[in-house]
Amino acid sequence: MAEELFEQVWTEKYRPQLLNDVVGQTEIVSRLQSFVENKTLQNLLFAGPAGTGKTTCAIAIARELFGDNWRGNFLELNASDERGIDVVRVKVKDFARTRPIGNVPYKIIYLDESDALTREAQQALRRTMEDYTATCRFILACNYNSKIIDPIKSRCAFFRFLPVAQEDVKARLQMIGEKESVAISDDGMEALLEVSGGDLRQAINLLQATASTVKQINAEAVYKVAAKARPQDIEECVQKAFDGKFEEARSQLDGVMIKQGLSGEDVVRQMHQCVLKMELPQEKLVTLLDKIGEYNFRIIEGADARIQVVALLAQIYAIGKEK
Amino acid sequence: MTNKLPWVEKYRPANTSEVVGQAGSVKAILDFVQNFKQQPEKAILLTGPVGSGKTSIAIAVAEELGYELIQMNASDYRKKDQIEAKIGCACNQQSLIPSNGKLILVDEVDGVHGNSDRGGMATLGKIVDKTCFPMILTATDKWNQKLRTLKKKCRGIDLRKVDIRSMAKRLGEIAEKEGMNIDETVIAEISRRAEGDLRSAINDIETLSGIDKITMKDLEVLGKRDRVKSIFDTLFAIYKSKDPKTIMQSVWDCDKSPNEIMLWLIETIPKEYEKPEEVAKAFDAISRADVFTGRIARRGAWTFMSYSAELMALGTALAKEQKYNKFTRYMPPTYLMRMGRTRASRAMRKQVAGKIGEQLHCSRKRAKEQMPYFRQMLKKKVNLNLELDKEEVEFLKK
Repeated sequence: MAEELFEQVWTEKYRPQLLNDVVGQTEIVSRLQSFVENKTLQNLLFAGPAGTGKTTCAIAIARELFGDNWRGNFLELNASDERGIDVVRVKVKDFARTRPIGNVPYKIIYLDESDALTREAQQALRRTMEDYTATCRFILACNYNSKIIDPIKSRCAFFRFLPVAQEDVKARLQMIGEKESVAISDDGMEALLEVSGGDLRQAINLLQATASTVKQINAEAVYKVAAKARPQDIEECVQKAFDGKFEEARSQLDGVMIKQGLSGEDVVRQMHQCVLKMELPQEKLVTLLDKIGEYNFRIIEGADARIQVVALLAQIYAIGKEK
Repeated sequence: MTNKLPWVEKYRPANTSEVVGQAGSVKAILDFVQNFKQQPEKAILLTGPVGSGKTSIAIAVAEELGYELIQMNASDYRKKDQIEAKIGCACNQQSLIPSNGKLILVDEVDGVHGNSDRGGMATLGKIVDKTCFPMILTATDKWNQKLRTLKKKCRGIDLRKVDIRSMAKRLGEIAEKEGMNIDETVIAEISRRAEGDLRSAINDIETLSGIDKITMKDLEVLGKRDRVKSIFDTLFAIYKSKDPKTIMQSVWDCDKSPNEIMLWLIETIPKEYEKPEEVAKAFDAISRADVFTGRIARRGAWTFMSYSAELMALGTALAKEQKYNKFTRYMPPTYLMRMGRTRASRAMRKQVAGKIGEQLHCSRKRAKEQMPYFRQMLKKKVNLNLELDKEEVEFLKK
């Protein structure tokens, strides 16, 4: 403990600095590059799942436009963390009031997870966007663009980020492995790809976590780390509900959500994984998958994810009991 | 008639034998006050529905034992200073006027308001800790979250609704003393309508006292009180009925909001319904009600709230094939209590997630998702550069 040698988190260490280095998303990148070359940036809306490069692209744009001064001209806000639009407004105002540093005419405000804003907040945001057109450009990122109101969509250039293709994820992991001198076996690579499913952030974190336990990365080691990261509890909950012990399952599920702070979507994703692994008759599997998909949508639309997750557990319970 | 007191005051029980119903509870309270020195607790938390006799019992006990009664009720302010001024001193001083002892009554403690009576609950708790005299605290809703800490310090005694027969008997006595000409069936009907609230029943017969010969028809002048329903009445309506009107009336009359009712339903559905497909059907309705609530919240369309409440209550009610003729003990939702108990560690998790999010350009939610990976790295003695202090690192490692 004497000397504190810090290791950087690889997702940051290997975050692409320039648009050109961004993994996948080639179409999007080439259009963004033309914006940067002309120094004419529109308001942008990035939609797509986690770990596909939305934030990376935003930061890369800032770097390329503003050079070393990028941090002074780039404000990063997170709609799901800030409590209300007022916080956003005050921060935006404070930031937009001062002139940009360097020879660009505007600053960039990056609002991540903007689909977490209520409709009123989005209306207010739209006003704010208009009020500061002279000094600021907005880049909004979201997972689901259906949650963004039309007036905002119409004011932005819209980019849809797709999950990063397997071979691109593979190449990136290979590159990181070489730089960090960890060997990844073929089956290890397969496992990394399977677990992370196109989410590059998760793939890299999983790689780094596995590398902290072994130097030779094989499938066994990857699954072991992934299993630890994905607590057994959810699997047990699903199994218990399926076996008819609904109340026990629900109590355990509440415990997992409260103690580990798992989000509803996390839980459903894990339920999905373990249902696929259970050896079920085909009809039951299909019914279960139908329910899981349906309830995942309901979490997005609903007010309280915990209610949805418990309700889904009740569906699993009933399907388990069906003859 | 010279005595102009309202009848509810005039006919308050003068001693414990006059208390209507509640015999077991009365005995327990008398015993507590008389043998106060031997009690492990220093106060009674006396709960029970409106008009069941909470205050009357306390007064009757003091009268009967010749105790001085120090009383504080809902009309008094309940801020810290005011509570201390009024009862804080009384708890520790011997009485100036000759009496056998003192009994301190704090009425309607669930009325102590979170904000405008800031510090009120905490002060009450401290007074209970150090009082030299027996205290009785009353409340209508024993499940009220605000009572959580007080509950631990007090002996809990729960009154039931006054049963119809005892109520009718008492009303008959009063009518006779007042020389009213009233039919027994009318008294029975008043008792039935009162739904266990003796106070309202006494008010009702006082209203009728000017009439010469009182018949059923005269009852029409008494508007039916829109009684606030307890959560148990509402759950009972949802589980035992299939009539939309009855069910929705009990939802809107409930003293809990539809959101709270939903938490109670989630807790109790698997206890009431025995068939898995009923449970699944009820939860499906609740889930869709929550989807409505989400849409309503996002659009601020609060007038649509009734759709959500209806889907929740009727959907749950109609999920049963037929009603279960059994008694189910409806327990309060454990979820909120568990949330309360883990508040500190959840706050810490939020703080750590916030810091990680700042370092890694992502929201707390994303940061939380990735935390298990960082935990494993930290455990393998990898010193991650996440700008966390020692305490935060220890938390993350756990």
